[in-house]
Amino acid sequence: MLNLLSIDASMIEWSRAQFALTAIYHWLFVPLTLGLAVIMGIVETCYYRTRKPFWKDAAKFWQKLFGVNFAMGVATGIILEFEFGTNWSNYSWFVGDIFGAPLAVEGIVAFFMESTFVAVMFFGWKKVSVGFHLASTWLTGLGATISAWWILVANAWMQYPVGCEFNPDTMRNEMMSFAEVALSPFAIDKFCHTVISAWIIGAVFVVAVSCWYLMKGREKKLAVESIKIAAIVGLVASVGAALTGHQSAARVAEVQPMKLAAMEALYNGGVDQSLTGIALINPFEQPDYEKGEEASMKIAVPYALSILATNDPHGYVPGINDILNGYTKPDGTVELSMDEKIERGKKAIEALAAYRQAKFASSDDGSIAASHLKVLQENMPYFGYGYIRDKGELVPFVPINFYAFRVMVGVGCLLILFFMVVLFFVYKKDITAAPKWLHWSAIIMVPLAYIASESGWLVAEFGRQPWTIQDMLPTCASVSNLQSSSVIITFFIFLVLFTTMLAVEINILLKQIKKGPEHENN
Amino acid sequence: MLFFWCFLDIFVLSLHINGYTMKKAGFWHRVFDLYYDGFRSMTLGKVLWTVILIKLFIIFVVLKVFFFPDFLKENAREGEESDFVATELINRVEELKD
Ligand code: HEM
Repeated sequence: MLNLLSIDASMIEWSRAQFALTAIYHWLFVPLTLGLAVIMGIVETCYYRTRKPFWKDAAKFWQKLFGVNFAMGVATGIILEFEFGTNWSNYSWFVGDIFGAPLAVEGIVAFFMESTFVAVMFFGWKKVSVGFHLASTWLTGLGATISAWWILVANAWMQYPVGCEFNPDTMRNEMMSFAEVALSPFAIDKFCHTVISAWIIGAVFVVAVSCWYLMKGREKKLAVESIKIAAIVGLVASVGAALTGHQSAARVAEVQPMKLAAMEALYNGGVDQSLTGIALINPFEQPDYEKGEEASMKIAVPYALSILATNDPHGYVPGINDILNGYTKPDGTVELSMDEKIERGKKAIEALAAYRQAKFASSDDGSIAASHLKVLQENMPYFGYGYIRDKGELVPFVPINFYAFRVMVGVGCLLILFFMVVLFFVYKKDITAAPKWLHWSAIIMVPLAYIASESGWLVAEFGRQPWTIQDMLPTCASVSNLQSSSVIITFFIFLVLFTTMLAVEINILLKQIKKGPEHENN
Repeated sequence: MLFFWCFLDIFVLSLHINGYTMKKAGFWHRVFDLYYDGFRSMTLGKVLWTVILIKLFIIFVVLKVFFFPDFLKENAREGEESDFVATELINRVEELKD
């Protein structure tokens, strides 16, 4: 298995597809957990404040749906860890120290917080005080959110590796500053945007279930009161997602300009850049960016991209060709061309090989190894570029980035409008008698919000290509030397398994929704 | 660390269960009672636990054992993983050229 002469390109693609499939599946459960946690917390707070049995029933109902989703999502993330160990062993070893700490903290905190407080939330209604029960409900959500923090720290590090140093003896990145890793600005932006966008999913779900009851003429009070809460959460979260999304985009412009250029299909950059609202790009083919022709049917907002990236309407934003060929930033610093970076990457890899050879050779008194180490350290920021054969490989697939970004932002704007309309009906009119289209649109918004959320990940992850760790390690070097046939088999096993599990989850969830709340307290 | 969390969890829990429904029962008994009663009177929970257990079985027994071996453990000698990864990463440049 290890004696393959060359790395099979299809194996890299299948390994990526398998990881993407697992991550997309895992991400079906996470945002609903985070979002429902907020809403059930608020509903139970209403019970705590009023002590009206209605609120207790309502809290129990949403907690039940939370429980179904939580149970279905449990352990789906573990599969990703298996894939790290099997398919991405070079990468796992290379990052070990950085990932180890956050993920270990995550595992311990999540296990104890969640196992204790989830148990109190479900089993403790008659066993603990109302106040402690409420605290447990909020802490369940907080535990899940803290878990998300650590995972997002790990992901943010892959986009913007800080606080570490590569050790050529152990072949691992070692953490120099835990604080720099855990509180990197990229991680903070990612956390805020991801968690706030997850609240939207919870809010949309609650509004949709409530509207379904209204269509059926059932559970009117539960539906109306839940919509009142969820629509406020949803509107605040949708506006919050736009604001934090803007911040994320500004951060991407700063540290991953190629991702931004791909998201915008910006081939030749410059000052006074407009933000593309919509344009026509062949979804199946990488555009001929070298020609530099603008996408057709482009409708753009003047200066908006410059403002987004630089906070200045006349700010300079590099395009794909500028990044490939090298450019000078407004502050005078020169960004090397990709050819130069590739050259330096190759030097780094050669220096690594020479260093390790000298280090373990008995004839070296240490001076030869030290000289190679110096070359390695000088070129280490470009290490990953040494694996790139053609600079075209450094351009992420533009159509996916371009369209996924527009789907996310488009649905984000639609959600703001949707929640405003729902709030108008629920507070100013009678939502029980609202037109059918409103109830239906609430149900349609559930898949749309999910599509937006998954699109966000497509932007984040496809936009990082060809890197697993930005500039440090490309996917082609991260992957284990496996047979593509074995990866293909597991891909299809997952496809069948995940589809079955999802069908079971949706079935149980729908049954519970149909059954409705238990009115033991009325 | 694990024990610390475990202890803290149960301690906090006990303070709150304490003095509520089971004033006279002992500390461990109260914690046990929460879980025991909870598990016993589950309805939907039984279905969910069944699904969880089946899922855990598939994930840990079937997938992990048969499809997801630890690549480094299988291919590198114990304690020599860094050499293995170094060779992989250094040779990969050539392998990619082919
Ligand atoms: C409305 C305006 C929005 C803007 C300007 C925006 C912007 C962005 C940007 C730039 C990224 C990539 C960040 C990166 O690569 O690190 C991103 C990622 C993401 N977005 Fe959005 N977004 C918006 C709305 C939404 C909505 C409505 C949702 C979900 C319902 C959402 C969910 C996500 C998720 C899950 C990610 C991946 C995690 C991350 O990288 O933060 N976004 N968004």
